[in-house]
Amino acid sequence: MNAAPKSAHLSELTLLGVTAHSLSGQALAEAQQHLAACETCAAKLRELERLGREFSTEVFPRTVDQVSARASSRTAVARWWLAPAAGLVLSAAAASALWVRPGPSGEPGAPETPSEVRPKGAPGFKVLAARGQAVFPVDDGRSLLAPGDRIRFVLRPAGLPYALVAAVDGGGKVTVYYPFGGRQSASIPPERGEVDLPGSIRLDDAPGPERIFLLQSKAPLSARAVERALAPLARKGPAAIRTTTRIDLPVEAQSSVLFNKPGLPARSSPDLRD
Amino acid sequence: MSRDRLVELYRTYGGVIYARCRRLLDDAQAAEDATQETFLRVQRHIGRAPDNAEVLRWIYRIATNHCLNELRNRKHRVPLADVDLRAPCDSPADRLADRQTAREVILQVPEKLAIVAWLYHVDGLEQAEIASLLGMSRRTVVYRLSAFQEQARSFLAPSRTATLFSQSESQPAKK
Repeated sequence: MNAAPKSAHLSELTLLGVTAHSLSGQALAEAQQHLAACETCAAKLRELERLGREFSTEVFPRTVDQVSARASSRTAVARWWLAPAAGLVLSAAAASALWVRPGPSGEPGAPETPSEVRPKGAPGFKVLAARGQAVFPVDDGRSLLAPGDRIRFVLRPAGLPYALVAAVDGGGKVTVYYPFGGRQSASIPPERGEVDLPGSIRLDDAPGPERIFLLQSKAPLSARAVERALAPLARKGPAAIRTTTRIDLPVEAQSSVLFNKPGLPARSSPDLRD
Repeated sequence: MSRDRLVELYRTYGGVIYARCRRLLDDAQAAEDATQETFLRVQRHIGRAPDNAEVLRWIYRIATNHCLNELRNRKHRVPLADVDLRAPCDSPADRLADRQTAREVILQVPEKLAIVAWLYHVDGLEQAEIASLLGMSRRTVVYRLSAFQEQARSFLAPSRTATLFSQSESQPAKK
């Protein structure tokens, strides 16, 4: 390929590198040499440094506790297996070993065809479970998970910028798993391929079955609206939870997976590991 | 990760993220929110970064993707017809005009073209730098820039064809 013409100015990435003191050696020397001769870039650097000072003196003091709290809530989800007495243990959800595809655009609550491999690039999600050191995919409707198992979610955004994960369990409880503690869908980076949602959920001893819903949309969805939409399903009990794979919400794509708990009839548990 | 470690990271990289988001979103509150979201994502992966320089590149990429996503979802955007197109020069005001044009055109195209076009036309990164940052080949970068220019032309009338593209157009792409 022909080389593109070299820019007359430093890129913003380089300038940020100067402000962050992450440049060194020749890169730093070249940047400094350019800045000494180019008022445009020097002015831009001053602006970036001013914004950095604004952050340090105004934004950081005001927001550091909030950031810490938000990060703690996410890591607490992953650490519940260490501190079950914290009262934050939630029931877990089963997921398919394969990517679960969004259901057909039919009537809400209609039975879905068995999970299948989704064409590359389409939205969908899968759930991984961990038991001790073992990690395994969870198969929709087939997996039998135990209290103490941990699960996490991986989704394929496929151009949909918002996602919310919620679950309904056999005990009649509805919980928004992701974003945990959030009031609406979380923004998902428009990356290709898979996105690993932060945090994990530790299984408690709530009765099964339990179904997890992934709701993907172009606009954020209210967590409260999702909880209200799932409440009737929760009240109907295990039989309805087993057969209802979609909920009536304004989303562009939704998927769900089901798992069983010990002591309840299970279709099979081929991936149980001791 | 301990709270002290988290605070240290936020203190160390928060200013860079904030500056980046402010430049992209042009709104202090939006930049604060975007900074938090970006930082929370960065926090999960910070242990994988081999050194300081790679952390910054990682943050830069995450912040850019997040902010472009936010810009796309904004309801109010400057109509292309209202964007004043001027020839590029070293004047900051004129540079802003070109940058503004580039921003508005870029937000019209698909995401995979938008990120490459933004890094090239707005941020001024070289093609090889973009390829390295996004983890793709330089050939792919060139292809996506060409695809962006094709789509961008449909948004701009011939009489207002952006001189923004003049440098790229003068250099034929290698086969």
